[in-house]
Amino acid sequence: MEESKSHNRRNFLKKTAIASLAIPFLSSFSFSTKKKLKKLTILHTNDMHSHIDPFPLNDAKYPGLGGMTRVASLVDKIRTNEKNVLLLDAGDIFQGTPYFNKYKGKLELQLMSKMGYAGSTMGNHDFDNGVEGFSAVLQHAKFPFICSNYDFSKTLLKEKTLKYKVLNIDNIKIGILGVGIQLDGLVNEQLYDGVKFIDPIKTANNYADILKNEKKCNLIICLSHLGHEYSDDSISDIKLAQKTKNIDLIIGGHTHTFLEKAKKVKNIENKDVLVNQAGWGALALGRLDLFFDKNKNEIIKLVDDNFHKKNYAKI
Amino acid sequence: MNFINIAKHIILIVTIGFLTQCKQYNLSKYSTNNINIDDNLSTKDFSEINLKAYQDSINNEMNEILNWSVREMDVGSPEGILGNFITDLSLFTLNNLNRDLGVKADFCVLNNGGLRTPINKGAITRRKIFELMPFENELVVLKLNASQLNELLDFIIKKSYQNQSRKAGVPVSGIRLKISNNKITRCFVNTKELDLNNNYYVLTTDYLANGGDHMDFFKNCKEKIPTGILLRDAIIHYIEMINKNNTKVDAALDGRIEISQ
Repeated sequence: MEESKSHNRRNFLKKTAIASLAIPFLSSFSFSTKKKLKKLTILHTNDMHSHIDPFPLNDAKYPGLGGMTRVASLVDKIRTNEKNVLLLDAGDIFQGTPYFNKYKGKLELQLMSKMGYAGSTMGNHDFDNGVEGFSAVLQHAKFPFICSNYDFSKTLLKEKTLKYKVLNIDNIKIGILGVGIQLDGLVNEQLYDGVKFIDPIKTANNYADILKNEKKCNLIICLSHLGHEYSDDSISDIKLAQKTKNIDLIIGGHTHTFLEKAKKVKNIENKDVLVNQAGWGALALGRLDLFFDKNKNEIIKLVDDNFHKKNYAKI
Repeated sequence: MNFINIAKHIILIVTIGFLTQCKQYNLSKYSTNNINIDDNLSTKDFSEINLKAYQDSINNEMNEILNWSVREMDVGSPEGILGNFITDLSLFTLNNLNRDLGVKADFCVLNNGGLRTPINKGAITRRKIFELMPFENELVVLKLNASQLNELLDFIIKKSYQNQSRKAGVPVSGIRLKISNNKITRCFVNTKELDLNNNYYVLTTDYLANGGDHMDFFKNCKEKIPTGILLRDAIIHYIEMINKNNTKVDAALDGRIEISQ
């Protein structure tokens, strides 16, 4: 008994000693997490429209510019410099060059898979060969299509797309949803036979709520092919941002809008939402560098706008 | 106590310390700058999927020069040179080059959203026409009644006042309109004033005939006559044909849709 007691005491003392040794280590650990922000680099494209190669040199508007093969080399370069890169697309991958007429989209999806896309949503032109045509080449995509507001359950695409996706990059939990445009009036009916369109705002709110409160995501991204902004009251990315909550970033497409940088829009709870779009034809790569810390501070501040212009102006 | 025990204790304490201070990651700052994909960037060759073989095959087929354009042509609103060129050649193709079909149209209506890229000045390649009209759209003829015609005209008025995007305006041929204060003040089909008591035959694409680009009124047409001619084939054939006659590609604005204050 006696011995055992003293042994316990000795043990306790040892434990305390170890703990006191660990304290400086712990405090330096907590110091570094406070000081060092986690960085996530989001790169995105939209409406690439089968522009695998740069535009021809005699093109009236974009001579020699753009091209997925160039985007690929830029993404490679950024991946060598940044630890956490997330590459996404907002639809209309298909239709626009003879590559699509001849190879039906297979090549575009193969290239995107090699480039390491983490996900895309469907644009109206991705239905140009019908649900059947899309379904036939989908095997070439090694990344998911995230379509939250198209109900494909009565079509060939049943269970072939996702309603949302959760990713963990460097302990940052990222939730991604995707909303597509009303196909009626844009796409020939027989090409989307059986596809049910669901209200994008309701859908986005629904899945953003799941991603935030059930899945506990630190960042919620909405891929959108609704279009950036319209002069009438059509639903757009700007309206989607204003009428929803829990979404941090909307990556848009459809209107072929070239933005120099993401716009900041207030959501229904007066919180900031970033809204971005990167033109079309693989003529631009959208880039956002997001910094995360462990404070409860949710106010988004714009910092150091030009820091990577310096790095990437000439590659 | 051995080292394993000490290590176990350290891991336990560090884990507890980590858990107690493990708060959620929050987005606190951001930086944004989109990057233009210009010719300073190199191209990746994707040799692992032998992209070069696909590129060579496409280039062989698509680099063929079909004709030369005198000027750059693009869509416009209320009228654009490119829309005039394409609608004119479409109507000509049906009415003059395909008489054996036994169907004629009074005028042609297409959509600027479907004309995907401008025609450059100089050499026009087969590739350019595929980029201008990538869709497998077929020319069709629709018989319009008075109410469908009225809806079409209202649609043209609405689109003619827009000028914000490539999709503004409606390209037409064979019909001339003057618009003032959101109303049509004059309308001629060919050389005759529009008469709502007449039925008119309009040439368009199957895409628009099915209500594409929000041309809902076309959906309700009782009579729809397919031509079997793809719009892209019509463009390629016309451009090659005039080249054989040593005629270069050209078009002009001619006031077919005019808005006066």
